[in-house]
Amino acid sequence: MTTPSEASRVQAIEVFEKIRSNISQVMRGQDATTRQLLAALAAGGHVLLEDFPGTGKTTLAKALAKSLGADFRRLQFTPDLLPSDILGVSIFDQRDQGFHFHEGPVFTNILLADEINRASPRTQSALLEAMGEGQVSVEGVRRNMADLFFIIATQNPVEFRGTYPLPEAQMDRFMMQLSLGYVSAEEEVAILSGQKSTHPLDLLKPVAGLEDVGVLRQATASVRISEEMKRYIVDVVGATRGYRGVQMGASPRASLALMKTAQATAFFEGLDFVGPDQVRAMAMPVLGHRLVMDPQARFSGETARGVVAEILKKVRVPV
Amino acid sequence: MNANPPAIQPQSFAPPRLLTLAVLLFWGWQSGLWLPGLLMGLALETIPLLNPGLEFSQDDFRRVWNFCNLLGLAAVLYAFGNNDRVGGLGGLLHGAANNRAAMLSGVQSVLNFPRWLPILLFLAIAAQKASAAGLTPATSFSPFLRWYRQKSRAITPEPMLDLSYPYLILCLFSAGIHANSGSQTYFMGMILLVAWGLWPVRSCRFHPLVWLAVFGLAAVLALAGDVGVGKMADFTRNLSIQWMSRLLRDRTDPKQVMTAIGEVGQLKLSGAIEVRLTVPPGAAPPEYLHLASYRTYHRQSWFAGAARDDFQEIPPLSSGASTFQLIPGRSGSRLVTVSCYLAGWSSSLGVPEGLLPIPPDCDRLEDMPDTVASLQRSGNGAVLADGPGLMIFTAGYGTGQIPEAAPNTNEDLAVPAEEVPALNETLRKMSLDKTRAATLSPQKLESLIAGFFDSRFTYRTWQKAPSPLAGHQTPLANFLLITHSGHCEYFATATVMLLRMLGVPARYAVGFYVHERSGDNSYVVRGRDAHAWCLVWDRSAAGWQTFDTTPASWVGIEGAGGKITQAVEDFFSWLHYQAAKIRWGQSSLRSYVRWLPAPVLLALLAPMVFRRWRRVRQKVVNGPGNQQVFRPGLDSAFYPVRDRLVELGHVPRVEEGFAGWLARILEAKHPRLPERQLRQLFHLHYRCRFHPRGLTPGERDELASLAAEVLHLLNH
Repeated sequence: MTTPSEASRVQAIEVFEKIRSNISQVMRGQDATTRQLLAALAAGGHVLLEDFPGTGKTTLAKALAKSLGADFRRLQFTPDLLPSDILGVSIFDQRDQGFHFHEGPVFTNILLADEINRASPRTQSALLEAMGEGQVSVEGVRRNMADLFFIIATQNPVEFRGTYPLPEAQMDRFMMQLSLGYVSAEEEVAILSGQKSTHPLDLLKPVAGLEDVGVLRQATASVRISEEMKRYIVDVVGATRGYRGVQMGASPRASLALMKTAQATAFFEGLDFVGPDQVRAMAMPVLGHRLVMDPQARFSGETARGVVAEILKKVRVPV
Repeated sequence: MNANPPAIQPQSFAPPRLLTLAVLLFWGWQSGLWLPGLLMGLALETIPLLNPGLEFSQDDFRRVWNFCNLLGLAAVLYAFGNNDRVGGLGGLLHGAANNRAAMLSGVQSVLNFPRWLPILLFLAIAAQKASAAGLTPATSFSPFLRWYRQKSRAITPEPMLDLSYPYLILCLFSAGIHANSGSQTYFMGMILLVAWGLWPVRSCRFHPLVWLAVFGLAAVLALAGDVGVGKMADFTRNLSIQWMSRLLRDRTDPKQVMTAIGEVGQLKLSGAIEVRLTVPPGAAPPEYLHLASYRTYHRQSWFAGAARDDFQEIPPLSSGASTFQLIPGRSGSRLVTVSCYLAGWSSSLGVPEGLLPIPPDCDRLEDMPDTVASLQRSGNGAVLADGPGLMIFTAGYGTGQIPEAAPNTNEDLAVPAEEVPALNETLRKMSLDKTRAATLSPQKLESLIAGFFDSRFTYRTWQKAPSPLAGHQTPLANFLLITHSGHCEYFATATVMLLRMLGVPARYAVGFYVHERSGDNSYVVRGRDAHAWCLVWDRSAAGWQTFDTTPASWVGIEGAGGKITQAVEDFFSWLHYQAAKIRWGQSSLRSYVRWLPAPVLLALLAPMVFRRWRRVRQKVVNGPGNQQVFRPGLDSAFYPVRDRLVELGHVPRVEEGFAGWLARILEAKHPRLPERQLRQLFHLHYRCRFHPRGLTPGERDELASLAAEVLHLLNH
């Protein structure tokens, strides 16, 4: 790990502030979620946005893409979507009597997988390799993704008909699950006022490039973390395994994700080290979607987020 | 600051709100300790509302549990060791009014110890509720588990226990021991509280009505089982009474005794050891142990007659002395040490009560336990004692003078009219009448009567149904004229009646016959050695004499009924006797029990002292600072400030973290809290603790000076 100079740290902070303020022009009252989204971006993960229709999931994804000035593609997941519709397909060209690979929408910088749970598990699984390893294998040929490959998937928690819950393996590959929630009445009035004539998204200009994201990621990775904090992260994640009502706890990948997002959060707060507050702040979005609850516990009204909240209360915090 | 690894706990099942209060109130109501129950219940319900979230370490929990253990041990020893002096644990709240009340309280405190368990364990459950985790480490309870985890270097999370429900179950158990409102009330209350406790954790898969129906069925079955067990116990108790100690049970009442005369079937007596005797080396034991005598016979029962209520208190020779003189001025040369149980219960004094089995001519009682609450003697020679359930004393006897009131001609010569024809017929067979008897010496008369019974009558414990040809004869007449066989009650009653017909005052006496040796100088008396005999008034000696006409074969016949398992029963009887000696303060072992806490305390304190010594020694050897290798910043100057903030009421909550805590402190707008310094102090400490490189020397100095400044402001 290389230690960035103070100048590159300042540059990274500026990049973060520019992107955050740019998005906040569109996403009113969602500052906390925006920071978490940027933490996932800085930590090199992917995000699953789960919320009710009309809360701004797609807008947030678009705002981020526009702010970065990166290649952005949107993919609407439907039940008849095929893996080749995502990854690409080889088509026979009569002119040169050969097959040519046509890249699918996955070959981009920022991919908005809208309503991901409407596609069949077979199609959903097509993203596994791309999300986990930054590459796809099609027809025996391995093709690398771009350096910046960031998936923002959305799904609707209230609709069940015609949907397929994401497989556990895929859920684990999302670094965070975020929800926007409804904004306050004042913020909603401001949204109405802002979109009276034009949509602010249309006016959004790029404020950072792909190389700026690289600087941000490098600065995040340079945030220090002590052995004690690593142990705390492992204790929190380990507590989810075998917890009452939890059928499957969080994986070591979750520990990694928690550490990296805590580093990003610390960096955003101007710290060059991780403390328990940053770990606790990231525990819910990082762990909440990874736990598989017992059917009995689910019927009893227990939720994965409730379990994480209880664990945070019970695992002794270093002070 | 806790240096233990973080503990990971399973989820706890917290009881529903107010259930703890309800259970403790129920316990208080049932056990008569409603005020402690109310206070403890309110405390336990309030603690979660305050949410103190105290960071108890495993060592803290262990100390609390050890303290509860010590408290329990002290309570047991205090109640046990002082049951005759200060009234035991019960005296803590109720006070000991006087010696008798103190003894009552003391005895009850030994028996009622489980009643205090909710109080003794209160601290443990309160600590759990006040702790941040809301659970108690399992290793707090067991040194073995601690040792095992240490030895196996377990890396699995520390097992945690939730004591909430076990504590409630303990309270219900404790309330059940002293249900003072009837077992049905207790049962119904318990059912309601259990339903309340189980309702929140019921399975949501079933409709609540289904759950209620199943619970109701379980409750009905439990009630049926409870009643069934009670009935079974009653049945067994009744069977035991009939089967084992009928005569003995009847004789415990000095006012009247119902004999088995006239009953059909086999008379069975218990082989249980009732009395133990020890005599000086080479000396013989007394032949009889007298319990009481009776004057009036009516319908197969004997009554005390005029002596019914003439019990008089026997004072000790001097205040505090252990000798009681039954016959003033007499001092027999023979001694016997008697150990017996007081099977009855004095409702007025609230202590065990019973007749003392003593030699008929006993003139004094020595070495009486100093816990004897009362000692009374009646005109019928019965000595009634109130005191410990096991009495061990020495009886002095051998003067030949039986301490009974002089004959009363109305009672001691009275014969029921319905018995007269059969008695006259018997006297005719013996060629005796009142005139001839007057001419005979008492010895000659007794010899004639004894010879008559010995030659023509047999001892038998089986009575067949009376023949229809016998008409409406009394059982005694049937014995004298037809069956010529019976047990000691027949012989003693018939002899008393015959003597009275001949104008000689006589009484019916009951007690034990001593014949079974159990060691060089010790004897045992069993239930089947219960016996009845006569007391005859000797005009020439102006005193009562014992006169037994039961054929001597009765001892062998009763002994033949001994069971093969007698040795096993005797062993358990001996164990029971030794336990009773300790329980009732009749053993020197009790004095050693008082010292029992010393080694226990030593065993508990020694590891603490050793650990302290080792810690100090390690510090000296390693020098300060080496402990900061894995957890840097533990010597931060911030901690005194933290402790002071906690003292001022700013207790950190588990869920809020460092920043949240600081924000909450600043929100309070404490006039002495400087915001800028506090923010800087928090930041530096945070960096000191969690930055892998820690602080530079300059930053450390800044942290120390800031902490001193803030502490100064907080203190003044």
